[in-house]
Amino acid sequence: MSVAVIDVREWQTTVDFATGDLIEADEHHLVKLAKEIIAKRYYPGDVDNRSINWVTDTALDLAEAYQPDFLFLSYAQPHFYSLYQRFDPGKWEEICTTIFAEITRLVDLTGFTPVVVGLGDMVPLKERIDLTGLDGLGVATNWSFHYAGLYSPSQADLEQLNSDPRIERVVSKERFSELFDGSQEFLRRFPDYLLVAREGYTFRGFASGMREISRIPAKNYQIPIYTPLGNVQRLVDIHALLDQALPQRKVALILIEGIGQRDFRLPYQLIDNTEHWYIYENSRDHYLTITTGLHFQYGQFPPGHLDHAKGPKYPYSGGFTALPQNTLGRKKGIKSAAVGTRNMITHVAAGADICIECFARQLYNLGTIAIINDPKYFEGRDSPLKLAPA
Amino acid sequence: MRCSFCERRCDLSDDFHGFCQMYKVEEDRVVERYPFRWSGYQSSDIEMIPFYHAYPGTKSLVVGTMGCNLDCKYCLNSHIAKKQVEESRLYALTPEQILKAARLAGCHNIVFGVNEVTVSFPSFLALAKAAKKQGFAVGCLTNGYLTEEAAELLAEHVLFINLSLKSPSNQFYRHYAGINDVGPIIRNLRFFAERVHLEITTPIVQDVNDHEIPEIARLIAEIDPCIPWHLFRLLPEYKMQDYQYPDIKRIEGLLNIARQEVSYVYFSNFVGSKWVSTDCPLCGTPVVKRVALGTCGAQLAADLRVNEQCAGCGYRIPFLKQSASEQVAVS
Repeated sequence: MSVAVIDVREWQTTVDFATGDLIEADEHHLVKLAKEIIAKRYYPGDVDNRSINWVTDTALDLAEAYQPDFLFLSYAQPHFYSLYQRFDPGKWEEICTTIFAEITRLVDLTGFTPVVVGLGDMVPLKERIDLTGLDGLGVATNWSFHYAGLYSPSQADLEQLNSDPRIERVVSKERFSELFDGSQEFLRRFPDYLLVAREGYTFRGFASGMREISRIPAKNYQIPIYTPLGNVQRLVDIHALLDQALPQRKVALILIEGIGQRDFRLPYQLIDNTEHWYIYENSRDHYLTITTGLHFQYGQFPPGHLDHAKGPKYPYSGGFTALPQNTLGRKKGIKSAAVGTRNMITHVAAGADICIECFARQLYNLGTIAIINDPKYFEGRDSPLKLAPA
Repeated sequence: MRCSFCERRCDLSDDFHGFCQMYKVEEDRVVERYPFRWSGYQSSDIEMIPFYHAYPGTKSLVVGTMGCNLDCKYCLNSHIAKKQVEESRLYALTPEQILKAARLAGCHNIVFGVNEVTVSFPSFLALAKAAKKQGFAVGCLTNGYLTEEAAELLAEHVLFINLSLKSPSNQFYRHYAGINDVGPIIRNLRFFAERVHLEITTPIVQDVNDHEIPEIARLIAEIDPCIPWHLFRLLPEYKMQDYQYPDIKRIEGLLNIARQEVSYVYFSNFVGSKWVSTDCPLCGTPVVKRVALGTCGAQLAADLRVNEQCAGCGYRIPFLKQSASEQVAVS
């Protein structure tokens, strides 16, 4: 069983994480711990520099109290800052300096072996490619920048898109599945066509956010990784590297969104950030590929998908109705913890015994959520959580 | 020449585009500056908009534009409602294109949300007309500050409305919303309660209007105690970013007072709220379970009604149901 504690400032509630039903679980030591930590650690907000410190401070609280073997951290503030704020070189320098100073502070204080991945540089937005004039439906969500889904297009739509110099390729569902394969669920949700933008361009259409954006992820063919654990060639190899290191060593996997080769302040090796012609960008796919070791097409959601049908299960996990079971945080025989400023994705990708993340939507700061997956439950024994409906 | 869509009745002569920036005079007629231009279109659970007593569990296609006829100092959507309106930020979409998107996305109804419907009134009415013809139910959000003639037109075109009643007092509207008189809003509230399925939302600002909750409850009860009422824990933005978040425990006490007057009182805009589900007002049996996800509304978890009645005592709780062509309000 999993429990979530939600803190919306001066008020907390505890729920069954799978259903959202209110419960009482105060006697469980991890629930108690989570309540104490999130009560004192207000989330400053997605674009606020102090959210960088929030990750480190919260992680230090968890590391001290829970003593995990594996720590998963996500610093997403540089991504949100770049995406939504007017770029200021001075402020950006401050962000980069703060991030790496905070990582150093965390490692120095905890002794974890760090694996630090910069998920990629951001570039100025050149233009948004408007899909609304098409006969078909162009789906362009905030989950994806270079990719959009296209449904029921006309021949004229396809001709227009294929000749648009801002568009790198137009890929039919059939062509995609021939080259990439993929899980049944992923391919079922795949749009009729996938549109791929050139660097600097993103799409706008059905389901696009209404906030103005200023920077988007670059086409990061390679991204930097710092780790003393060994050599890594590809994004999917990170999982195996950590899987082998745990539990002999205490390892912290640290993802930084919005920072790539250009601003990475640790000695690094470059790893391949692609699968065929697909380039990963700061998103759900990036996180899950790193923590599961499986490329994006073996997940549940293709870019540009329209199917938002969702049952009542896991209401706090976006579209997910089942959580991935092969993430690093769920590895047997280890204690795991996670902290992140990427709402929803952090807990889904980490699958940690205890995860604390911000609860934010479209820059609205709604508080924090702590998710407790009782570790003994995952070892196949009965959960010691005895929960009575509130 | 004056605009007759909202109670500001702006004089649009001398190239003035109205307080909302969205209208102009052309050949002696008030016309939209940006007809059929939208700031966005997307699908949403109807409970997220929020409508709790209309078509539970359905998907809505939500459209919006830019601009607003009020000037709320705490506006949550100021990046859309209070920005200089720029044509480049708007999508050109015909009603047919929007309805095609709604069909492909599996939406049951069309809702004008995001900003105030009267600032893009002719485009919305045209969309509503086309949607109705194709079997979609149509609804909207409004701040209620529209003229009697606009209210009449709106009621002819929509089946469900969520009206934002921010306060019963002129003083609040004068200080925080940029208008002098709440009268037209209350007049329209009464009118819509007679004509369409109506829900009411009240944004609660700590120490500003929370003390008015009992008075608003009495006002709603006098009109119809079965109107669903959403109290909205406002996290102030725009010119009131530094205001504190409303204290939930304090509001909880006021909810109990409100419930003595109004049957369906909800309290949301924070994750984990336990005040988003519907219980039978007669026997207390859970009728519809929802999970609060922050933002405006909630997600449907379970509809526990049996033949649209409370499973405990058989009481028929008012819900708007089925398709636009049926246009049935269960009460």
